[in-house]
Amino acid sequence: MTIRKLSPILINQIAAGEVVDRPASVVKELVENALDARSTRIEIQLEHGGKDLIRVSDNGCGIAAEELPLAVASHATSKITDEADLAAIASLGFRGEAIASVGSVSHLTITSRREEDESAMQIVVDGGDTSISKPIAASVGTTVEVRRLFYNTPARRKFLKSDGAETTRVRDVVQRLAASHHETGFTLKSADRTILAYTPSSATARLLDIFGGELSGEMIECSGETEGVRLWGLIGKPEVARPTSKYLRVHVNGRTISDSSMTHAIKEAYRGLIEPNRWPTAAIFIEMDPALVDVNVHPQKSEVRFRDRDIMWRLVNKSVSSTLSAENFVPLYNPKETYQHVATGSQQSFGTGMQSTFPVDQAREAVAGIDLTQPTPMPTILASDDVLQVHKCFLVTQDEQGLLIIDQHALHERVMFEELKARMAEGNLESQQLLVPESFPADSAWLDAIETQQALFTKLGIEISPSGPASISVYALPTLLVSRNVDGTEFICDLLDKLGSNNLPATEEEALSEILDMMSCKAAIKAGDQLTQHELRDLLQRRREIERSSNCPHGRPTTMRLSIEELEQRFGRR
Amino acid sequence: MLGRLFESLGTLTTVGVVWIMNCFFVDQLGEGIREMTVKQATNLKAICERDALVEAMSLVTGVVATRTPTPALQCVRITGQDSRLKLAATDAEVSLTLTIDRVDLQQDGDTLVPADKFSQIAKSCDDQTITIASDSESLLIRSSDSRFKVFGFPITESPEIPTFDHDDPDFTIDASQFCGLMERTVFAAASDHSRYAINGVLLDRTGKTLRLVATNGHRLALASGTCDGDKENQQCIVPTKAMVLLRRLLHDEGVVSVKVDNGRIVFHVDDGANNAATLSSNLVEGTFPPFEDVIPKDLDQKVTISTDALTRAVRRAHLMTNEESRGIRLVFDGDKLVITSRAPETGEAEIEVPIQGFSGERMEIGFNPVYIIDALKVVGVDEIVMELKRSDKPGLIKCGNNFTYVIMPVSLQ
Repeated sequence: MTIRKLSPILINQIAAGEVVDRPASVVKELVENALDARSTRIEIQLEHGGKDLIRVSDNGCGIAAEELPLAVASHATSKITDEADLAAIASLGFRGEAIASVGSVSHLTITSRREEDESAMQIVVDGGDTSISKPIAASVGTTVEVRRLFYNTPARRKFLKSDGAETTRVRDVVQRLAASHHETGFTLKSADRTILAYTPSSATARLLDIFGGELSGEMIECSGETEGVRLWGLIGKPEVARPTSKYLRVHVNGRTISDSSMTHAIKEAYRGLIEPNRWPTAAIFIEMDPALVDVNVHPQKSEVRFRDRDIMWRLVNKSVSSTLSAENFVPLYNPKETYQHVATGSQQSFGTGMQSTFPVDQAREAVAGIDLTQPTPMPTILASDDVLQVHKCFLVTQDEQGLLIIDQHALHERVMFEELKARMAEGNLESQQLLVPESFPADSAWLDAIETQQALFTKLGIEISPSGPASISVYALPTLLVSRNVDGTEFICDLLDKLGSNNLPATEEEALSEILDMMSCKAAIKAGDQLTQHELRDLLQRRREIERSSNCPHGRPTTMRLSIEELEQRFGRR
Repeated sequence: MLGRLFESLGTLTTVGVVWIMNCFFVDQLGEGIREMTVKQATNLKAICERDALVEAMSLVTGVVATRTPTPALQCVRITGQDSRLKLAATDAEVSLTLTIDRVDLQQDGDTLVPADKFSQIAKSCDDQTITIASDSESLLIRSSDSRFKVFGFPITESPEIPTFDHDDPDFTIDASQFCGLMERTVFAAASDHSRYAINGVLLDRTGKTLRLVATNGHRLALASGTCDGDKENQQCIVPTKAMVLLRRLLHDEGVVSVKVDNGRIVFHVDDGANNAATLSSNLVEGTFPPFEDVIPKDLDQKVTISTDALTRAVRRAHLMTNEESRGIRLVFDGDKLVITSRAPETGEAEIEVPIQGFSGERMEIGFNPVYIIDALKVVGVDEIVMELKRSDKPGLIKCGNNFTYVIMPVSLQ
């Protein structure tokens, strides 16, 4: 073993691992270069998810013929010149690594022409070997072609996912960049299909293009300012909150960043307006003096360091919360609800429909006021006794030791969870095919989840598959959800969010438990559901049959007991 | 001390003046109101046949809003004119107007009273006839042994109720036939589905063929019949509530005239015996699933089964299903169909049914028994044809050409 200095090509290949790990990161680097070149139109063409070809063409300022060889050399850049520039980076790129790295792991061709040039120049790099540049006919701007990415690093190529999944990742990257550069037009094509097409437009219009037009009435503009920092953004009303933070985006000086303190600042502003386990939909753009923020933290530049994080936290939090408090979030008249009312309109339901809302909180408070003994394990209910449903939320009955108060949702959830678990142990859940498949848009995380978790979906009785580069179709749902009238689309979206996020438990069994829990929670009777005597008895009957019925899968108690001794004491009989 | 006295004296004087002014104005205004109401609500007087009134009111109470901040939407407007009584009500979505001629109208007039109360009072009375008489603010209801006074609302608050243009219906259809179409479809509609187009019933007219279609996303019912009319083809989605109410209005006799206009549909029912009813409803917006594409056309197994035998067998198999194992298994083999079901904690069932027309390899398919029973209840024939292809393809129940029912299979293990 002798220690040798590495060859420059090897150095670049190693560096490539940090900057370039898949087609999407190549696209990110190339599009950022195009944006730094002040382009107003950027076209991205992919073949086989970018594995065979990535071509990024722009109409930007171009590269001078004599500088082309430098462009493909490592640590060569036009974006900064001295240390002072590094302290205040105003461009998206600056490290001078990307092109050299890409060149070392692919066949790279750059064609560029400045406005003042007679003709364009082309340079070809093949696995790190640069050939001499030659003149060629082309319009003003730069076109970078990356063919056969990772052809010389098979290990890395092996880690790439299917063409469809890689295309979707590229799409996500382009969407992020397009979000903060609304004045630039973007086109993304895969083979002959146009996947994205954004014309230059206003910031609001661009965001709605990306988030989906259905949010147009749901977003509120917000802005704020402090010394050297300007903030603008669109934030979603509480109703459009999502189960993951995927739709929460923060951009600093045109760069999408992931910064936990910024997302925390936004989430805090929504405290009390959305459930704690949901995330707001929002896009926040911060423009600040480049000297106040350090973007040179990681080669992929998705992390930044603010010089004063507290000021930033306060600015973001204050802007969002003052925008929210200026709005009136009294739930709007919802035509869907009245419609449901009509649809259930058989003669009998007219009278009962009146009580479909009721003060659950009051009922809970009323019960909370009673100082109850600890939840008791497995009390046996006297079978002959009547059950009373209180405020359509709690069930009251008795066992030999005293009075039992049961939370109907928590108990039913527990019962269903146990039954589902027992069923899963035997085989797949029964599934009902849909007359017409339900199709909806999906991002790369969802598509990845579908690709990798097919076995799980089959187990759950869900038939699902991608139906395009950014959409999925559901063909069958578990009969349990169907018969409990659960909105299948909503369940699938939440499930995919869960599978796509990283916080799923590691072991398969725990993960499955969590999903079954989600399913039983959605399918279980809710507080506010009127139950018939028969249903009440049935529920209590099933309660006896399962283990651990005293707590719901979340650990909340299902049952509390007020013992006879306790009652006697309270009434002064002892 | 003195200052305080003056202060309270001052207050007293002010109160006094206001009191006097109040008396003065109320007197003036009172005259005005009385005059206005006299003009707007003329005093109605009629002797009604109790049964006719009760029947009509039970239909009207099906329309009025149950929960609304507008009390007028819980009222019935009673109008006496041309020796008939007209009852009209709406919940702002669906409106209904009924005329009854089994009435002795002594004085024309107009009044607006809470529908529910009026209906209960009429129902609770045992006499053959009931006398109603309105004044400016209330309705008096008299029978031989009782006298009720119900406070009403000014007639000006009465919501607008669409009328029917008799001259120009889009099409007309025989009431009994329309009844049949509704009976065979409305049950299949979804209730509170997030895709709310399927919470209604699709009405599709092509020339003289009228088709009603309803689905809940897992099964679909289509019934077709003939109607009269030469207008352009039309398609719209009618809320289930309106369909259910319309079904209750129809009897074997009579004709239904239909007009679709400006987001509303109006049904006019003439029972041929001088009783007319007009039901109108807002249409459901949205896209109905492409029902023609959903009905499979390449099913090669056509099995004939006795409706009664199949109904009984499916019902019995249904006993051994529960929420998590909904499906029953249908095994077709030669000249018999074996239906099995299994609920893991409860037990199993197996029932045999004779069949005709099945050929080829033994075939298994799973269905939700409720969906089969629903369809068999309404077919109205002794034998049905079940069309199938494979265990993962939809099944079809048919009777003749005018009823088609698609059921999506359930995958069993």
